Amino acid sequence: MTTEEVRKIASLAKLRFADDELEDFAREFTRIVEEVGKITAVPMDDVEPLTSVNPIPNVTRPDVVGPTLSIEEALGNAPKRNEAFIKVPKVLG
Amino acid sequence: MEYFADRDRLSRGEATVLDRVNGSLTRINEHQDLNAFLHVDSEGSRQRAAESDERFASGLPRPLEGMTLAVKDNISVVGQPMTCASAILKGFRPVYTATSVERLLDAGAIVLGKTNLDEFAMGSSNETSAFGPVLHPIDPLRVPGGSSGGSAVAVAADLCDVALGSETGGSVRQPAAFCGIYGLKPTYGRISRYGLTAFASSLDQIGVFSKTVADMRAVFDVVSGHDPFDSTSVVPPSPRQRTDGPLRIGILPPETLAPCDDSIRRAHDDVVEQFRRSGATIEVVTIPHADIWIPTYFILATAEASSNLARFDGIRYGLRVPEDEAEGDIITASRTAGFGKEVKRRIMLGTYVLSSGSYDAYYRKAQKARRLIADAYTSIYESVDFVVMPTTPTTAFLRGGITDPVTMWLSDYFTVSANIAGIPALSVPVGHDAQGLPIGMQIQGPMFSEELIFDLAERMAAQQ
Repeated sequence: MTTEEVRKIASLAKLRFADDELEDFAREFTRIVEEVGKITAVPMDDVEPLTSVNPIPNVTRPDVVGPTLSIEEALGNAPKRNEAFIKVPKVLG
Repeated sequence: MEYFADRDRLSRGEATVLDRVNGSLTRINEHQDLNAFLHVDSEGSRQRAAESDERFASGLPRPLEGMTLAVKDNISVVGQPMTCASAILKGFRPVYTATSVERLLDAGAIVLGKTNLDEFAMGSSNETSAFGPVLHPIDPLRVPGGSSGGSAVAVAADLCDVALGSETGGSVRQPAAFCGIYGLKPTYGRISRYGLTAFASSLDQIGVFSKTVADMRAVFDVVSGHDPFDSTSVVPPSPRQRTDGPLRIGILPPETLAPCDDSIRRAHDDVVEQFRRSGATIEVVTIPHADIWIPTYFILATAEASSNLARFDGIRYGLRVPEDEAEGDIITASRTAGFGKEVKRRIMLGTYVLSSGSYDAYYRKAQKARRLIADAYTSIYESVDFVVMPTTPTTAFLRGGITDPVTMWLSDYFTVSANIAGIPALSVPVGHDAQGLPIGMQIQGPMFSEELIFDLAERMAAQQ
């Protein structure tokens, strides 16, 4: 695993590693990928993947309005807000 | 502390809930060095205790009236902060209470506070908490296990009666074994996950710690069951009955037990011998591909985690690195500043195994391995009632003793297969090694067999 590859995965994950961390992390990450990579050696061509241990049909409920959070409750944890909105830096030019 | 040992005295008015709660609060205060609690609600607990005493006095106590409860700090309780032991959630106040906690409150339990954990439940030693490690209650130089280390220590050190934890790959059973108490990982879907911070949704389950099977059973009865707020929660198809005839116990072949320390191996053999002497039949069973249980688990768990933890973006709640300080965008800056090392490691691996080019080789492959392991358990339970195996390969290790992440991951060797297959498993305290450190064995049963597992654990306790 090269530092370039690590940098690319980090950008997909919205994380950043400082240049001085990058080499150590790449070395460690190589070892981790090697360990989990043991799975690639086991042949499983005919096996159907299992996504859930208790397959449940789609669950629906009657379309009736129930109690919800107030704006105060819903926005109470926002780091920055303005009345009924969460404030974020300007994204569009 | 044991709730049902005291319940009669509470009913007869010979003891009060308030005294018990005050006793707990004093002990929590005296044992701050253990770092088991991240938040203690003294005032609220005393208020609830007074209400419980009134109910006992009126002769109408609820099923768990006055039971003292600690809740892992990745499960939300309105009125108390929730951090998931992460800097990214510092100051977060939950806006709803987890269904499991709501049910316990309705049954009369008292939430003393929130317990320390590995950051976002990612760890096996409680060393990844942003608020410092939890110490082992017997030897402060050792780890209590993780990720629900605070909850395990709260029960083991008699700071409360019972505690809730959460499991993704052994995070209740492993610390229960290290601390010498009972720890349950229920069948997937038996306890609502509503209000549990998601780590790997297809594996996560809320679990229970207790000092006795009676307390465990009573808590499980209250918290289990379908919840409209968690569509993966289920009503058991039908209560499982024990088949007639002698008890049939499955054990692992020697090569699968090889990673065990001698003390664990001896404790295992003693437990098996005890079953044999009490008339059980012992059969060696095979759960295939022991060498890839850990890879399968870490691929699935980190893949799901990388997507679940995408919600921590510094925008809607939690830590935000201000734009004038952020290098680049605030999302990357906030996540980089807020997440600890182990969490970043797992998000990175999860992102990698889901990325195009790796998806089929890793993630898809792990889902296939998941089917092989789940199918193996299904066929095993056609010929045995339970599978018994060690909970951990070693007893509690030294803090700072495992620095390599892969070695740390391997300590989950015996626990992950139950999460992969969705089956219930209970870690039972069975003795101590030469240094006096507790040893746990787990009883694994078929889907929805919790009640039968409790029966067996009670029989084991009676024989000790």
